[in-house]
Amino acid sequence: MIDRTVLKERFVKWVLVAFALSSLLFLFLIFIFILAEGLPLFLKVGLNKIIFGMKWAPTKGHFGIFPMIISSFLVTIGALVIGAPLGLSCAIYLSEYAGKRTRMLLKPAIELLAGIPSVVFGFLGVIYIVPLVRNYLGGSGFSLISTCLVLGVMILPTIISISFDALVSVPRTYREGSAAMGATKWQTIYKVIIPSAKSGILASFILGMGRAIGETMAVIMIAGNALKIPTSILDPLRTLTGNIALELAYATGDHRLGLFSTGVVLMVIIMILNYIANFGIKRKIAK
Amino acid sequence: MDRFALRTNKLNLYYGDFHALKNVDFQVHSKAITALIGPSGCGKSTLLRCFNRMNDLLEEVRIEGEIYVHNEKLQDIDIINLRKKVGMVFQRPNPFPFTVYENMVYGLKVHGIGHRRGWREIVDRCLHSVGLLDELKDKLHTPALDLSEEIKQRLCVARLLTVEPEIILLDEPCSALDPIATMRIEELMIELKERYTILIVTHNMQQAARVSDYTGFMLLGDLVEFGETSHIFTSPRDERTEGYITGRYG
Repeated sequence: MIDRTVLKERFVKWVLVAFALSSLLFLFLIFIFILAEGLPLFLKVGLNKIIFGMKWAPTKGHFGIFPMIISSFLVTIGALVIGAPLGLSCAIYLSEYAGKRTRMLLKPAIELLAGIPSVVFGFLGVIYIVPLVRNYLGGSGFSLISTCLVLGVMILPTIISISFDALVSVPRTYREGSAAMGATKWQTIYKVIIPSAKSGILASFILGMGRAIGETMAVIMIAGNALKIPTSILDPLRTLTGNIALELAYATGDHRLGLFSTGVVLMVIIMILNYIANFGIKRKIAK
Repeated sequence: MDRFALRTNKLNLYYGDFHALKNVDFQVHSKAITALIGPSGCGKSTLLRCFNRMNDLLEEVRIEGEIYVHNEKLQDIDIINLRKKVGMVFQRPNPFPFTVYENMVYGLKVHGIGHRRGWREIVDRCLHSVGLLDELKDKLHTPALDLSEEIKQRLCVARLLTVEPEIILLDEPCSALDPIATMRIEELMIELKERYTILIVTHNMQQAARVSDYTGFMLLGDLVEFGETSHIFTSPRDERTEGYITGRYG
């Protein structure tokens, strides 16, 4: 006869395995669901006409999402241009210069920044950034530049916390070795610590990009949502996520399927970004 | 040429409340190997790290007394030049995670020595000094972390030599190495002492006896005895030294 404690142990183990696998199951279901809804239109209209089509008029049979793909990339790159230098500088300050007390104050503040709902960011953007851009740069204010500014701040927590982890995990022996060679603190940071933490820092940028490209609410509120490729930083634009969120409520038939196709494209882009980020992190561990 | 490359006068060091070095009067002869021996926690590494101010990286360290580098007061030398003059090799080989070449030119970059075009010559010369030129001349652009521990440690010595130090501090440089690699590093030290002053901290009494010209024995923060190595190991004056070298404790 098997001992009762052994049975109990096994039971607990299997329950935990089941729960652990459920997240995988959800991922799989989401994947299947989006593909099942999104793929038929690709077959019907054609991949080219959707991905490279310039015109989005789903009720009239035009499903081109090229302007939105470009717009999504533009806001993502823009957010990175603003968020990466700020975030990396902050991470360097935290890991190399800040004393224990400052660190204890700043780290939770940054984590709190991650917890602010995106609608609040959007709200602040509409109230402060949009008028600022309208008054000082021109246009309506609902623009690429406003969106990038807000997204740049929104991706800061991701970039800071992952870069920070990469920087603090650089072995002390490298720092000592560099200092013992007569390098100044900044030389050590610039020439040894940052290059050693390179892959983690890059991973933080890529995960930040993933965050920016997936952001919806704040973007809808600030971007202006116009259906064209922006030609200046003051032009309004519509992203892939924005397109789905704006139209899903009233879309039916092929229109609805068109939104799922948008979702498929978005999912593929995010999967590629995640893959690159994971690849970067794994390479760092392998070292 | 000064007789002593390094000298301390009534040196006291505290880590917070802990009195780690007690009134240490110590000299390191120029162009010779001086060894510091003693049981763990006796302060020998702490003393070594005073000479290139590595203790500065730690918090709550207080130092009293005087340290001279070639008769110049330690406080009067700026830290960058001090560390150029007084190089250090660590317990665990610590090449940077770059290529061999990048490691070798690090000091040159940091101190702005020479011109990029002239670096290769310096790199070759310094690798030759540590007997690595043949081994590494075709591997200059491979990652330094892929090398064996012994080669890494030699590379760390070669990396120091590029900035032309006068004094080399070695903090238990062989503790991560096997006996054959240890023997080779010891041979290297003996070759290097013709041109450099060497101060080595070692756990290994036999190593001190084999390579050093002078030996200091430390115990609980005191420099108990200092003299020529042959004297210390054959006729120690202090019975604590005798107890340690004969293995009664340690």
